[in-house]
Amino acid sequence: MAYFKDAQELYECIGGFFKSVTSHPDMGPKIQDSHLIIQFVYSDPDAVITVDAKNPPPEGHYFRIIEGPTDLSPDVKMSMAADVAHRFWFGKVNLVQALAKGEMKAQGPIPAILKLLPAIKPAYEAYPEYLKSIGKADKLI
Amino acid sequence: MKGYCGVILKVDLTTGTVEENPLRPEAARAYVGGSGLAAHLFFETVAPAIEAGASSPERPPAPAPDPSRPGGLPENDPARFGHPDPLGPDNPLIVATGPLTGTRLPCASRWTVAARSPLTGIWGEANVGGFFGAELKAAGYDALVVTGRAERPVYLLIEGGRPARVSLEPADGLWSLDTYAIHDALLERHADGGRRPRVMAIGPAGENLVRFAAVVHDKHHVAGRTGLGAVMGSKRLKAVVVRGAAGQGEDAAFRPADPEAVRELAASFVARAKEQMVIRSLGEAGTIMGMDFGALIGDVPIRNWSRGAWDRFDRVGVGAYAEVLTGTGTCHACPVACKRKVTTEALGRRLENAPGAEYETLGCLGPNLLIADLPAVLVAGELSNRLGLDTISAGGTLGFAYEAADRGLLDGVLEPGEADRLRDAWGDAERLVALLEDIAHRRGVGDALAEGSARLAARAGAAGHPEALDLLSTVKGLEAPAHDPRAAHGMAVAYATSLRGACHMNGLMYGLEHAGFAAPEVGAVPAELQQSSEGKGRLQKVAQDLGAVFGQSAVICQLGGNMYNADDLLAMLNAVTGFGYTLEELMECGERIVVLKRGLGNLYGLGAADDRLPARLREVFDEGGAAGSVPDLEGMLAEWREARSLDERGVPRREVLERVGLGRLADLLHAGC
Repeated sequence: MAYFKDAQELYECIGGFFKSVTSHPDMGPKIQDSHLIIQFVYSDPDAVITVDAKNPPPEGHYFRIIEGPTDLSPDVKMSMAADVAHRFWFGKVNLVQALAKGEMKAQGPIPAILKLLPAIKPAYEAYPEYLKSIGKADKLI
Repeated sequence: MKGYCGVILKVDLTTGTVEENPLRPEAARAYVGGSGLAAHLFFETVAPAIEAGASSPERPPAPAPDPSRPGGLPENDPARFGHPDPLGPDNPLIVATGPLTGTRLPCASRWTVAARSPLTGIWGEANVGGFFGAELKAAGYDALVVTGRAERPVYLLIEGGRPARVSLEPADGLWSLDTYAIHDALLERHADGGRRPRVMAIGPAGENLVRFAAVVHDKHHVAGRTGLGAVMGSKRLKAVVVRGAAGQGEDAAFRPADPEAVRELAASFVARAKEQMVIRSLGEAGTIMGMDFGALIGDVPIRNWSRGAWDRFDRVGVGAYAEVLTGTGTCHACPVACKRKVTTEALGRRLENAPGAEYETLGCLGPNLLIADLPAVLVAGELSNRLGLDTISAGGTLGFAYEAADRGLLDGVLEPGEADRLRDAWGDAERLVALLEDIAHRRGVGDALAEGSARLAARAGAAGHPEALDLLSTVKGLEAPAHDPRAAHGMAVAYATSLRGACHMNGLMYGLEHAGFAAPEVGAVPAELQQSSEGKGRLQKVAQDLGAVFGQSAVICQLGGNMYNADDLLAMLNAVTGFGYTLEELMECGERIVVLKRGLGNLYGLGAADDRLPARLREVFDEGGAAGSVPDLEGMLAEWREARSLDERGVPRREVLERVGLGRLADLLHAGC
């Protein structure tokens, strides 16, 4: 069974988590420094989340999150099933295997994507905590 | 015979004679090429002396397996049983290509250097890319077998053609040059033939018999592991220069059986390389991407493998590297181009569009020594190439020595001033560079370090500090590369059972766990989870057998080659050789090659007790991507032993050896059983 029953729930969990990172004192500045627009395109359920670290962020945040369609032109586009994304933030996806098997598809400059990996590493611990904080402990894996 | 030149060049440095021997088609089919063929040629060369030694009434009893042996270093008295002393004239140094080497097939033109290792005392091999192997075949030779010791330094000059011109040239004025200088000097000396020659050479480390000295080709293609540069140095062989002849290429000397099929396969694989995400990543980011991926899961060694987390990976990863990147490079017929060129400066040295360090070098000399200064690590890597040092063993030895010195475990082992040079050295790039120079020239403390970490630990143990052994990263005497078995459990059994000591390339487990390789047609299916041990002992048997053909004997690159599977391997080998292999036969070739190399190790004292991980790599992290991760090594080993069909001594059973055509080896291993 899919982890998310619909796009709304995905936005609540993954989108909400991304928004919490926009003011994270460790991850936030590193993502901001990338100056990238990164778009995540999810399927089952279909959803789009865009991380905009190129344009000025709202006050008190290092970058901004856009849920749903946007006119922004992404530098990097990552496509994957929503379940793969959920498992990824638990550190339970072998990223290289997922890329090799086409479970994750990436468009854009690969070095730029890789540069973000050290920045997002703390998210592995933060995502489960975030889910618990919003009453979504049933999503823990 | 198609795909091969059919000729092996034998050189005796003691007598100065060279001769051409035919490569028998049945040997080519059974051992394929590369290190499989090298192991076969090695055994054929040394077996008579071993057999004579084995029948001697003075033959000492075989030592009992001793789990306390330092760093897994096998008990290997060089003189025992008539075995060649690794640094003696009788140790055959073998350079071997594969049938695919020199063809237009992508990522398939690597070549092998092999001998008994002076670092581990068992079978030693290192494979390397670049262009030397293709050029050797273009000159008309599948392999070189070099024995003896020259009276004075020489280099071997091979100029292709029929007949080829082969000569031993004096190298007195070239001895002591670093690998860059010798490369430039020999190119200048032999640049008049129209076609650019290719060079493999040693630097000061090989000349000074550093036990982890490397063989370096064209400045940055390095056959690094197991100290084969020291074997060259022991023979006073400074370099081999080879120039192929016009018309000696794919269309003549080693014409493939089905050139049209080779063209079609090559075209489809080039297209695949452009599409396949991991291969594209390799081209765009180089092997350095291992740092960024590895940091996520705890794969990178930190402070002599003692820490699970480090907050400076961003300073030595792909992002930082992009700031110094000025170009890329490639190997023969490779569309990936994972080699990096860099322009930077540090420690008073400038690199100008120079070969840039790859992941293993960055990992072992960077985080492993807590150095977060990328330009400095690049300088240290480039210096290592110039000196002819294996950066993995250099980093592993220094990490061990720093920690041992800090704990006072080298007091009474080294001279007081020498131990001081190793204390509080973490993060000190300037000291690193000075120590690399000292190792290569065996100056001061460098002399002890040049023996490798296992021997240094053994000295500490003998001096009353046995706890030094707990700080080693070695398996069978070879320092581990920059992949932590706690991050991906298959690497635990891969290291423990590797035929040359701790190694991520001695089989396909690395590709299966880390790089997207899969070959379900022979049961090589990557596990979903890296930090799981389930089924990985059985998987290791398949990974070894397939890997023995794939990466070691067909000598396919285990980076770019991750886009292939076993069916692709079969198609390539059959298009080139016309042997009509089946997958079953290829897997049997792999098994034959594995048990031959294992058996050679057994002859040199290797036993079941040597299949293990050092204590340091079994410690449990409480932080980082591998926190709490504990590989079930015993469970995986039990699976592997059963699948591999070893006896209680860790020796391949007679029936296995005889089934794969190694009855002569069986007689040596099972005499008296």
